[in-house]
Amino acid sequence: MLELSNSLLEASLSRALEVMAFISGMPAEQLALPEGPLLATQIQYSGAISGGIQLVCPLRFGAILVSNLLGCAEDSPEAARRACDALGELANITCGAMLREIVAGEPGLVEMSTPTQKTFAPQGWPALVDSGACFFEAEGCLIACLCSIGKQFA
Amino acid sequence: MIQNILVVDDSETTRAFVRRVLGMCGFENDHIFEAGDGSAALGILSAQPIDLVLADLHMPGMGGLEMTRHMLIQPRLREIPVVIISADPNAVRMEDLRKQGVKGYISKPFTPEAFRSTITEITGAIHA
Amino acid sequence: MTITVNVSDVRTSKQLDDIIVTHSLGSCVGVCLYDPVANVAGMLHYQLPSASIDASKAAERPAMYADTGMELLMKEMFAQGAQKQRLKVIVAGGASMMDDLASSSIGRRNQAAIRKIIFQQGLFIHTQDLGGTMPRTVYLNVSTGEVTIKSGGTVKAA
Repeated sequence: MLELSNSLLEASLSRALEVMAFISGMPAEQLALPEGPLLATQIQYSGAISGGIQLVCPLRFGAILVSNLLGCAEDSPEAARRACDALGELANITCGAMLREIVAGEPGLVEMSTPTQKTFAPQGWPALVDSGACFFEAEGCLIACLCSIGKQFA
Repeated sequence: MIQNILVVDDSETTRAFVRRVLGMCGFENDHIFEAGDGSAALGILSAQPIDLVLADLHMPGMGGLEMTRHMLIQPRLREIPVVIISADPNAVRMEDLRKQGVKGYISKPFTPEAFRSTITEITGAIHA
Repeated sequence: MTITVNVSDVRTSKQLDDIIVTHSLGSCVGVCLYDPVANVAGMLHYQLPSASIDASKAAERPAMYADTGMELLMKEMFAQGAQKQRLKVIVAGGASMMDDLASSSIGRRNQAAIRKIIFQQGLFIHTQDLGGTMPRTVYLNVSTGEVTIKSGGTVKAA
């Protein structure tokens, strides 16, 4: 079984963004707190393996996703309205892609939850940086990727 | 001929993206319908002639598989082809879905080209 | 006649005995457009994903960038009678040519850029040969719209 890791999650995120949203990014080197509101999106999984993933990124990135997928302007009301939903779907696709790699050829099923979201408080950023999360940069936005086995995110 | 298409997904962004790609494939916007889960989809299916259903698997409320089972037991709905579009990681599930009457599967993430290819294959096969 | 598309260049043709070619597509991307009804063919060889990197350079050399380059290619094709909804689109290149991450990412960024532009134009890519680590040479036959891609000793028809 392929090993679950933050870097596998990051690779799955990269693939999801390139294939479906025409966005190419790379591992981030500068980890300064991003500007603007941050959103944390979580998905839990259970079955053959259990645990969860968390993506933390600026809400603005959601608007960029919407703009790329639907052709509206990044600063349009439509992009703003759908930004959270787009980030939820990104987490869904990324988690599925990551789990697909891990469970390929293995017996048993893995079931994913639907995404849950909450505002990420800036005070939590230093702990996130120290947590071993992978940081990915795309379209000028920093995305933190964290996954776990056996433990679900609060 | 495929004219009316129902897109079922709890993500409105994904529904809008699929609508956009269907438009690029030549399907008319007024003939594309949307639902946020299986129950809402069955409501539309009871009120509106639909020629093709594109559905996510896992949604809050009724999922795509349960929706398909409901369609299969209704004479008016059982012949409508269902294509599942999902991020589900379990490859073995795809074979199960086919055995349960699903006509095709598109795995997320997908490129617009891969989507068009599958839809063309399914709609071509329907009229073969 | 052979028409060579250089780096950061656009060429089009309606002459049925022309072959349009571009060489050494590494991290760069070659875009071939063909309208089979108007018999108009065109090719762009661009280096970088977006003119926002350097707007003044883009004004001088629009074909250096995916966005301004595609705008120029399509404008020239339309001027010769091509219509957007008839265009066959073939893309090649975007390889990772260097060992360091920043340089090798240019190819992937170029790939993402052209895929996005083509999608925003409401078009599908007919054939793509993207990525890898080898340079490519691309030939476009104006008479037939056939594209041949050569790379590392292999030949691919599109």
